[in-house]
Amino acid sequence: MRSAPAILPAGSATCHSAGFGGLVTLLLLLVVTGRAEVRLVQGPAVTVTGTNAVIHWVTDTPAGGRVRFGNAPGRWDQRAQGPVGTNHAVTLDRLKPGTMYHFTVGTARLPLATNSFATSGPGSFEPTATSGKTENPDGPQAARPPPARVTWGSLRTLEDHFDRHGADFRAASSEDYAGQAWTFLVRAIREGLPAKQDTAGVIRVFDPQAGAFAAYNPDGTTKTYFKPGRRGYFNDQPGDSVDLRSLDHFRPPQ
Amino acid sequence: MKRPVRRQHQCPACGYPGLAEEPRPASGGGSFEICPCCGYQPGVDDDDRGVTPSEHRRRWIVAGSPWFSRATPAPPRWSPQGQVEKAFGKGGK
Ligand SMILES: [Zn+2]
Repeated sequence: MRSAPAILPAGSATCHSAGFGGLVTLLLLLVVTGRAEVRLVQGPAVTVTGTNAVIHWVTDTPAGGRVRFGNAPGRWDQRAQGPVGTNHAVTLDRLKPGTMYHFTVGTARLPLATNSFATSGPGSFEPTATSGKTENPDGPQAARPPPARVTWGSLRTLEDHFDRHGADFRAASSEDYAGQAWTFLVRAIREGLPAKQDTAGVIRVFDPQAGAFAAYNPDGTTKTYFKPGRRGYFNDQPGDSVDLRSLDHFRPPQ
Repeated sequence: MKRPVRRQHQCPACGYPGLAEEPRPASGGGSFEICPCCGYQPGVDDDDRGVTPSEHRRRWIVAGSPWFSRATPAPPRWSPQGQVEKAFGKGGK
């Protein structure tokens, strides 16, 4: 049995960047800049006090702050939000004691990063009082990826894929980009993300929340990794739906 | 798994003949192999961006037919115009 934590109204979360006048300016700025991409500059960091948690993060442009959270990675069945700004602090209160929470931060449209924390009190494990480390959207349990020469299908093409798609994931290098594609597969298998297998054995994976898509060879090496712009792209891809959690012979390369 | 016989394929956009994979394999979708010559990526440019190979070719020629890849060098004495004409005929349509 667990009681659902209260969802805060927008006004009860704090935003350090602006007063009311500033907020109006920021809203105007948002209208002017349209759908400018919001990037995560710092965080998310978490300060846990008892059964309350404050999630902090910083974005490069003003945006609404949205936290989706739940008790399992990828299962964001609760949410809280804060006002428009760049320096975000959203409070989650009346959480269950001694419990692990997983969350994403971002805007209403765009998840930017994930992290997790534990509340204090009697529970199934020792709680952590503060968790401040930044993690990639592939989750706290993601292992360190092997080098690209192990994980990328055709190594001579990697630089080209990085040049074209690396920015989708803010990859710092081709090695980082290949590593992220591998980590995406690890998470896809762990969480059972939507996947298809075509008649040649190619596996296509999509994360609707992050908007990320990857294709993998039958040996688990990566063919490509990018964020499609077209709604319905994954649905139109060939292959039969498969549950990656039960595909015995399909593994990320080690 | 048995490796397929290594055969080279032609880019449907620029006619570059050195692709490792069939751009549109029988199993469906695109190969996702980025053409080192013009940057066309079957499965992405066509299926996601809605850019046909011929439209990509037109844009690439307008842009001056630059060699795309930083990692794979252009063949010696590479002629983009000659390559296009050989693959698609004069005018490259
Ligand atoms: Zn080409």
